[in-house]
Amino acid sequence: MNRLLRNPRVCSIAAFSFLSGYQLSFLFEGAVLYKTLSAYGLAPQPYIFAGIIAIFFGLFAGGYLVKSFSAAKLAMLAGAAVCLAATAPFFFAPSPLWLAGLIVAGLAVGCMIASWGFFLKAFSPKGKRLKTCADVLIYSLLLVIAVSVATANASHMVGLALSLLCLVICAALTLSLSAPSEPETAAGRKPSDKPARDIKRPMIVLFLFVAIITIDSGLMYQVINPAFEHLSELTSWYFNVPYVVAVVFMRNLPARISRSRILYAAMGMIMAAFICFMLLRRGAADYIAVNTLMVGACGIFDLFWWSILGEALDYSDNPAKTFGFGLSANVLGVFLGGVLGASITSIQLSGAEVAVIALSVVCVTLVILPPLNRQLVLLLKNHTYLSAYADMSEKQQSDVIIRANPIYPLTEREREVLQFILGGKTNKDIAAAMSISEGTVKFHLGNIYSKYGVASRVELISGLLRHNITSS
Amino acid sequence: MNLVVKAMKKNRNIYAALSLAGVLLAALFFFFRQDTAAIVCAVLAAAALVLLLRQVRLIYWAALICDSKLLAVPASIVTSKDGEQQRLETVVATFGLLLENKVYTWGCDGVNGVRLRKVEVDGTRIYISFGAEDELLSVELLHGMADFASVAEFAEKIRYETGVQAKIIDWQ
Repeated sequence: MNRLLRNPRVCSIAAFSFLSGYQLSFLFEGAVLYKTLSAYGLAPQPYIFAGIIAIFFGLFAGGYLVKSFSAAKLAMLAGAAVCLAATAPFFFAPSPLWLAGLIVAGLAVGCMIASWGFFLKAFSPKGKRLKTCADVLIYSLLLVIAVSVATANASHMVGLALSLLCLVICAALTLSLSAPSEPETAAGRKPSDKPARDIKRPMIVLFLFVAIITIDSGLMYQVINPAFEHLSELTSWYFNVPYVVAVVFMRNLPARISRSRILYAAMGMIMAAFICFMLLRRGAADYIAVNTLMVGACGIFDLFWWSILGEALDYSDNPAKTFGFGLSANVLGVFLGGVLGASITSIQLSGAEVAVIALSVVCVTLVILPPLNRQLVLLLKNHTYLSAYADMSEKQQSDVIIRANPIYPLTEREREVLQFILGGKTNKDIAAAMSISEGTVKFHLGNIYSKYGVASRVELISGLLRHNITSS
Repeated sequence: MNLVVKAMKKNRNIYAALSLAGVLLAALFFFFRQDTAAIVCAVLAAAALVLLLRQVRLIYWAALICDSKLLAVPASIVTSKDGEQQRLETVVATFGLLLENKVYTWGCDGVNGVRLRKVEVDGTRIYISFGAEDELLSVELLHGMADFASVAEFAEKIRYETGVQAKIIDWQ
């Protein structure tokens, strides 16, 4: 045990799992929060939405404020202290401090989660990030199951105490972690590294992808869960089990199996879950069927985008910003889904009508996902290719263009434009460097695309660099 | 700004004003139940709108040509009342030719469409051939370049930008 805790990767996974344990069992639509609010007969929605919105802004704030490993560690420790103080009022009778505490704790947790981006980048090697993300999701959900069962069988006070214990352990583990040995600049990369490429576009696509993928989770929570409220004993422990199983399955999937295909299977599972929800009754077996399909799919989706986010840390000069930005999309998606679900359920429709509307929303989001996924994968691949291209010698760079076979020979000017594109320059940069207008650059680009038989910049870069990078 | 483009923009503004006036008059006549007059105005407005769209497109191409200019041949000099002189130029560019108020484009559709085929320069003129496989068009321009260095520089620009090797013939 002692030896395990001396391993910084294991220690950082444990720290984040305990932080997530606190967040998911209490702050972020947690069973402890629901139980505490219902114990005093309070309507949950204002508290739930306040917590979610605060976490959303906290993730952004963390991304913008935390700029080094030491700042990240400090944010984790200070955040834990703030959360302890902000959660304390929940041990007493309801007061305005509850709402204020949720907002403050939400902001602090958001900052802490964003800060963990530094830990993930520093302690998990590039190839192991998927496993690290999976471990974090598995262990945090196991903690959530434990806390939820304790809350359901004992009282909300026990749940609150366990949530706070999670926070304390998270702080203790964080304290034991020291900065990585390699010197880092304020931007979080080695001084010898080349400046990080502009990743605004991939990040926007990733943000959209994560937000759309997680709308369904929020929607499900609001639409499906209330229908099975009478099975509280079963739901308290079984709700997260399919999620854990799905993540374990994805974690141990051989690398040769395409994860994109599993993503499509998960889309099918979500639709099947809603169809089962419409056709089946509201018994225990029905709950197990619906929940397995729905939450299992969410586990697959979550690990999919978490792993992309983990890999995207390498393309950014500030892991907290990338991580905070990506996870804020998740929170936004859950919030939008929650608002949608709450609106649908509040208009007093029959169960079947609610399920049909929810299924329609799910179908729309699922239709958007494949093209977005393709675009995201291409953008991230291109980023890898462009980074590798930037590391090549000048001779190797010119070889890339010489070896590529266009349908029709490029002019010297087009070669010049192509060099700029492979250098990761935008149209605006190219126009400035060549003292021509952006419109003219676009015409040169159009001609280059046509001569290589491609339709876009991402296809051009992938097509030109894939062979060179993979063979070298 | 090139005088030709300036003139094109002036025409565009006239067409825009005519279109607007036509639409307003058509609406007015329609409101007062003057159906025949309303139809005439609507047809005129539609015609002006077509001309406007054509002019906007022309300006777009002319701007592209001016931006990728390789050679500007002075065609004439316009002197205003206050004595200010402005040169009217024929522009040879990477993506086409701006000749008075006519625009010829090439090399804008990659491997398809109109392409620059041949460029020849002699002591006084430039001969430019462009078009699709079966439909070639030739233009002759007075270039006004007196020394060989300027001609060679122009030929090199053409090669760099369009990939077409300009042939210098009968240079004295």
